[in-house]
Amino acid sequence: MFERILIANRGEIALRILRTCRRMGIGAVVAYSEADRDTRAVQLADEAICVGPAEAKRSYLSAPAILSAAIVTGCDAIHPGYGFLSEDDTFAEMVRAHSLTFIGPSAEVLERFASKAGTRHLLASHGLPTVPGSAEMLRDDADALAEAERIGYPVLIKPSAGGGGRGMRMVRSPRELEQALTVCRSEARAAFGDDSLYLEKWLEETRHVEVQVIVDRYGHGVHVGERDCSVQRRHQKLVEESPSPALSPEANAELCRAAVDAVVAAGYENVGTLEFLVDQAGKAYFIEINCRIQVEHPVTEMRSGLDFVAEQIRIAAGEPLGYSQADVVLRGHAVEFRINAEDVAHDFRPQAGEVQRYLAPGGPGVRMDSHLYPAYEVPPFYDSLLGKLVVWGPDRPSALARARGVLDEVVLEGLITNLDFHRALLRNETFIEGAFTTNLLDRIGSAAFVSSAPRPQAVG
Amino acid sequence: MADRPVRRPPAPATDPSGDAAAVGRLADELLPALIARLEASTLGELEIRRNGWHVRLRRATLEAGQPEARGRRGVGRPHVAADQVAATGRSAALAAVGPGLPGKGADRRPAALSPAVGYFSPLASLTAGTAVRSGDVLGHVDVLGVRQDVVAPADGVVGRYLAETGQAVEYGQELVRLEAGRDPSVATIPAEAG
Repeated sequence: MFERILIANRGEIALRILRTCRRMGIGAVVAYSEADRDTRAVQLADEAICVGPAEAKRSYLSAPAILSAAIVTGCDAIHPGYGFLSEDDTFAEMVRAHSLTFIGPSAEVLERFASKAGTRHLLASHGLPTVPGSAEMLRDDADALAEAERIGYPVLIKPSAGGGGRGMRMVRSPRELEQALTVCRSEARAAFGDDSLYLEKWLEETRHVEVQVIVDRYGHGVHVGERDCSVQRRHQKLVEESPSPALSPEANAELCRAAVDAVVAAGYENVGTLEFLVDQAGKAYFIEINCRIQVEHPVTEMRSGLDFVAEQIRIAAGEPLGYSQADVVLRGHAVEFRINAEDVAHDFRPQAGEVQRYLAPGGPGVRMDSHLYPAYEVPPFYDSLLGKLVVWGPDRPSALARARGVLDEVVLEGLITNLDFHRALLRNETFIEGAFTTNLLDRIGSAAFVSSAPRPQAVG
Repeated sequence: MADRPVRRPPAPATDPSGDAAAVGRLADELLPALIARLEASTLGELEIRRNGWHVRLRRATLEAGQPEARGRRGVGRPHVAADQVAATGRSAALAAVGPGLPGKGADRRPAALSPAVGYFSPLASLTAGTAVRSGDVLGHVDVLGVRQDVVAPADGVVGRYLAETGQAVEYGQELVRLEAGRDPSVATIPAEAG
């Protein structure tokens, strides 16, 4: 087992990883940028080391800076968290070349699953259904038009690299397609340094369902159920829950089984997530794999009792899984609300500034993963995630009832947040029925959605 | 973790047209990996060809007159991080670093800052009292075998060293204090030997 881990991330996930290191008796060094000196993980770490300026490219995204920090602080492993270098196979290879361990899949595995199109082919060959789409990366505009014609409009333009909705556009006609290609290429190039695009059939009114898997280096894998992430705004997840209300328990179980069988056969290792679109007929199509810990992993932790960061560390250290599918028991219903510093009324504009008051909610079945504290200054350089409120209940209605109570308990002043959005969601009939689809919010308009909600009571 | 067999680095996602991103990726990611590979071997030279790229790394031979710090790094091995961590005592070396900006009462005199995370080596030709000009190189920080310059932020006279030779330093750390210079035009730093 490792003696000392470098945490190469920030915000709530740096704190999340640190907590597991503490529990496992592993030393934790936090790598931080100049903008993150006062962050909670830096305060709690055994040691903290400044790796660069605020600009992520020169700090959290700089492979030499992160690796050098791990070496000079005597770490034997690096946990990349999510985003930044977490799925970078070249970085994983560099880490190994310096005789350190990358906590995640090996460089070979990351490379194998690096291309979304390549992964779709690979997992389709192991039995997963995929969305009809272009067979290869688009060569040029003419190729794109021909492929779109073959697939049938509307189509979704997607970048081969990255995620999070950047470089993605849905188009309904050849004219829209031609206009969007240029924009998507430049967005993809700016965000991921790779402007290759492909097309997918756009499925109307879909659900986003993903399957959590854990696979050791010896080909033993389990799934830990699914999560429904259909509450999205422009492909950004806002709320995640498990189990998915989109499918029957039998259909969910079948999807999870197919997913874990396919990734084990394809040689995946470590913790990962397979994302599917589920259409109105309940048919699931594999879209992509995330070779890292996900933001929404606590949803599954609440149901399973597993610690996914600990599982990542154990598997990276070469330990066998040590349990089988029958040992994975999922209980009740869990929902996560992403609390972001953004102004829902003004197109989700990101906010930065000082947290003046902060009080986290509590009680049975409530978990708040957040790096906030009063007087903490939210820097403007990174994502707007302030924390994740996760609630558990024996069933969905009781989980939602608990969520209503604790959302009104949260005190977070000094910044505009999306808390009112979540309060509105919990009073929305479509959500309560479990019938939310991925494009519902964009269709209604988020501002209109929030203004329809009852105001929360003032909390002392 | 035990060493595992070395694998060829994955091909960078580039084409031979040589766009800036590809060059940046080569410099930032591939080169440090290759340097590490060379260090871990007993080879004197390593060459890689891919997609029209052609990179050759040659091990530097230590010669008399090079800064003492280079010599400390072990015979025939330009830079092996793990050895050095043990040699410098990593925790002690970083104990003074810690998080947080210098306190409010901190010294207001200018200091040359570390450009990166790595191991510090001052310029051998530099001693306290040497007059320097803004932009002069005062030393280096070794990042995975690649040296980055420590630069004087202002004209002045070299004062106290705030980090020792071979010490692990973090980004932005104060390394060399500068005192007010009487006449910075009279002296310059001799060029570094080697």
